[in-house]
Amino acid sequence: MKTIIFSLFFVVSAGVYGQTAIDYMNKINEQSSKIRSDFWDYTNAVAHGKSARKVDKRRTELISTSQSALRTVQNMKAFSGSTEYRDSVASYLQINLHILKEDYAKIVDMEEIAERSYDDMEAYILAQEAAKEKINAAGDMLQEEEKKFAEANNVQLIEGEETKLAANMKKASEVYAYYNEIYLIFFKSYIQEKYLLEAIGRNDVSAIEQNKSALTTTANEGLGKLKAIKSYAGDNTILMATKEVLSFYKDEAENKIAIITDYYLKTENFNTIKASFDQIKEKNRTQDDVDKYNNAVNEMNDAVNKLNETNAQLDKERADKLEAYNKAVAKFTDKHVPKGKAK
Amino acid sequence: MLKWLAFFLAFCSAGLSLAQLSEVGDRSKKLFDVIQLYHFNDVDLNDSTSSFIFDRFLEEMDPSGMIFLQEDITKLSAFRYKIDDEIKGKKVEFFALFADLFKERLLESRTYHDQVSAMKLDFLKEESVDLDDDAFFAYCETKEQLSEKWRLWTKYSILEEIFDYEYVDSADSAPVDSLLQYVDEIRASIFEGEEYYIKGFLENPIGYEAHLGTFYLNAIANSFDPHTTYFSPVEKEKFEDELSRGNFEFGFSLQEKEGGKVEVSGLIPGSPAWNCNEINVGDQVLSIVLDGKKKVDLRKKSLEDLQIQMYNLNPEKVVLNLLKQNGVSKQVELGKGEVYVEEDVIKSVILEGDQKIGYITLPDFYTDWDEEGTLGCANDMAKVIVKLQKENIDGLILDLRNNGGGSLREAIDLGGIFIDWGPLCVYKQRGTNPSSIKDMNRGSIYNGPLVILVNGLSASASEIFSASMQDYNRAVIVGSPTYGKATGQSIYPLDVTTDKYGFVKVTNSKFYRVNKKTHQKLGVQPDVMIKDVFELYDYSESNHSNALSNDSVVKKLYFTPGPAFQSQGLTAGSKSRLSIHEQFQHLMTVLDSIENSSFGEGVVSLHIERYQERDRAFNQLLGNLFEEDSYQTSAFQAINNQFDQKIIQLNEYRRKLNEEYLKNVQSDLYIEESYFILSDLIQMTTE
Repeated sequence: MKTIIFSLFFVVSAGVYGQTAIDYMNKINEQSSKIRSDFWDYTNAVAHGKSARKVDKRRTELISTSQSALRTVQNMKAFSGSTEYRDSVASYLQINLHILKEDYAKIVDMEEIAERSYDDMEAYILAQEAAKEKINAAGDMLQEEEKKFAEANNVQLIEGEETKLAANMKKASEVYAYYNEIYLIFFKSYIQEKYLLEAIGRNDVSAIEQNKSALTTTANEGLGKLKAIKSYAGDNTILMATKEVLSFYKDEAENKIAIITDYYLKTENFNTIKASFDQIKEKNRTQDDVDKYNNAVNEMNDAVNKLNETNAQLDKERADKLEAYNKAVAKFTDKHVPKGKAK
Repeated sequence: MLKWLAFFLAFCSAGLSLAQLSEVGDRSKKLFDVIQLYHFNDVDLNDSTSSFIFDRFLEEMDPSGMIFLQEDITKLSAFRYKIDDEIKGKKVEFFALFADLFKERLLESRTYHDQVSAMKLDFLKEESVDLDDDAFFAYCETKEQLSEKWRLWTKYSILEEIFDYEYVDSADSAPVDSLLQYVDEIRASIFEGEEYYIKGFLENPIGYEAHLGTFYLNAIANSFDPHTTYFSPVEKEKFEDELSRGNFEFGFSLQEKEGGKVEVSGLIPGSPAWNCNEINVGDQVLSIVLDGKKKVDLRKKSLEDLQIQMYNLNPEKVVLNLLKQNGVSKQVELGKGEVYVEEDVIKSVILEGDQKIGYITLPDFYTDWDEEGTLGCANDMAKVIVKLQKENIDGLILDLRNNGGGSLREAIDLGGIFIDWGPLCVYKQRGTNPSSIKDMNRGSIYNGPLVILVNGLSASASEIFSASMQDYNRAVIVGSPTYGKATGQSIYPLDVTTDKYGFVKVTNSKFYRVNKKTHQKLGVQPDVMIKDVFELYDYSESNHSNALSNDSVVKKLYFTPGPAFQSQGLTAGSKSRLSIHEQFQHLMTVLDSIENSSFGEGVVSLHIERYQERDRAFNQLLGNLFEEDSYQTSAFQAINNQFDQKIIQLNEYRRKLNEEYLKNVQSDLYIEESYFILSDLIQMTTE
């Protein structure tokens, strides 16, 4: 009896009449095994802080392997007139390839995604989620066709032992699932703060105030979500670092931005008061006029000082918290994602 | 050769320029091609458009039958259904005939002017004109009839000038004898205006045919929809050479349209013209009185004349006689030299009563059109709202009455202040897929109860903003239905290689609400209706027979409206309050009387005493309507926010302006009722 390792940890065994069917299935499995191997190398490069060039090289290799696998499967002949199994594998590989190339428009309705999302980044995240649903559905379909094919050709599918590679991939996927959940919480506030800082750069009070309110919401929501997440295998470093960053955003939005907006309002008021004061001829100015003007000058100076202090404090704190977060992330994946090449 | 020469001479005798005529033919074809290329609708020329152009051109050139005779119309009518072919074939047979006849009759009208100028006009004779009778405005059969029509029309115009345009102060109470002494000078001034009009054609610097051609081309453009218009290179130049802040410091800019009509083309935010809250873009300026001495009548003088006078006199004060877009005339006085700071232009107050309500007026969605990326009114609004929030307001009223639009981007950004994020409208251009226009900033600034106050003069960007707030259930819209313009226009040259053929503003897009319907022709229907004085006038998009249709759009859109409020409850509360509101009921009675009266229509006596009586009665009604300070609400006290208080202390002009503003807010019945509606909404939300 011959057995082969199949894509989703199945082992097949066949009766006398199933021999050619097994060959057919083996050929398909060969393709998926190549992809898995390349995928692992890619994951490994990302998880253990390899250079961007190396990561990209691995990704290119993975895409190239997937493309040739797809071609091979597509070129396979029908088995006893049946093409459903082959086509379901091809469809799965095709979707997978689109995802690897981030070519989401080919698999999801991008108009819907665009309309549902606030910005490109959100559209990207939504597209990824939609694509994930697509590939899961294609995976289910593949499994079903695989079972049907096996049954029709007298091939028995049995659960086999996990290989080391499969175990590593499972572990990595678990680590990334944990990290992604936290990352998304972090990212929502991070990008919101980025918009806020851009608005400050444009002196756009409307955008500052709107982004401030949005940052308050995302930071508070994020902190709430973090509370419900447990540490990973006793490691709470990434959790704590994210909490620190979000607490900074919360404080910034709730307490510090008001000082910046106040500065704009006071500047505008001061300019109007100054224009009015300048228009009164010097000899006609009363003591009261001068006092009011001086008060305005003092208020303005006060606002400027507060603004400078606040900005300096925010800049320092932001840099510190983000640095700590980045370090925590690098350390976390390096620690928990298994090391080693696929082959 | 001889034959050709004879043909040429024949045209010369008619005094028309062949070159200019063929140019008009050329342009008409180019114009149609550009419109066909860009217009929102799939347009073509046919007999029906031809007939429309025929009527439109005639109506523009001789709306009251004061120039042409019936025989001319008969001759011209041969072309009623042929103009489409003329345009397509670059032919100008119709236009040449029109130009020829129009020129002849224009010259002839001088004779009528001379006849009427020479005769003694008897204002004590019992005679009348029937303004409702089509026969009066119909084309006369004979020259004698037309001469008589000129006599009646001149008498009517003199009376109109004395009483309606306030040539004489308090004319309706002055002894008739004292008024009659002005007849000769007014008559002279009327014919001076007529001569200005005639010369405007016959001695036009670009040539008679070319100038008349711009009206013809505009009639062609107008046949596709009311907002598609042609403008000549000269007009474009005038458009760019507006009176601006650099010239004068009153803060309004003017534009001379074809035919010499002068309109307000812009207001500088924060300037005296802006602050007076009574001038809107699109108002026609009939005349301007400089420093109470020199009156420049813009129906007789050009914008250039005004510019020269302004330069020479350098007036400290001007009085503008305006004709609002709905036909109401208005006088506005402006003073120069007052300090204003461009960044601080939006007026707001706090209405302090049982509730503390913020109130903001926004007359225009201004932006800096010249520089992309600069901040406009949405940013200024945000600052005002932050200031009001520092006073812990319970609700906000945003007054968009008379706001005729402006920058769409600013309207969208303003929407962003009140919602988290999402689409605010859908934009559809011909031949492209519809796209949503979204608020670009996540988060909102003001989440509390909101009332938006609108009326029939709230148009375009105001409507897009109000409609989106209504669809999101974000605001209660209060007032009367808005204008109903949900289309967009772009300007294209007739020839991309040169400006010399002029330009066409083409309606190339439509806007839809996020509920996928449109307010085109319908306007935004308020949640709580309150009848407004402007409802007396037929001023809305739907009055144009060829306005673009009201349809819907297919587009994927996702937005999360807030919980619906009980608009029926709010309406019931408002109705019951207003039914026992003495001043409001008085106002409604006056509106009804005006609506049911025959002022401005029907038979008008040309006997000065009868006319005076009629005018007196009308003024009494109007006086009741616009009676200043007649009412001061006790529901709230209008006060300034802390930021504004500091400014006012140091500036006499702002102090005066502020006092006036507070008084107006305090006496405005619609603001008072909005305050109550908002209070009810707050109450409902709390419950």
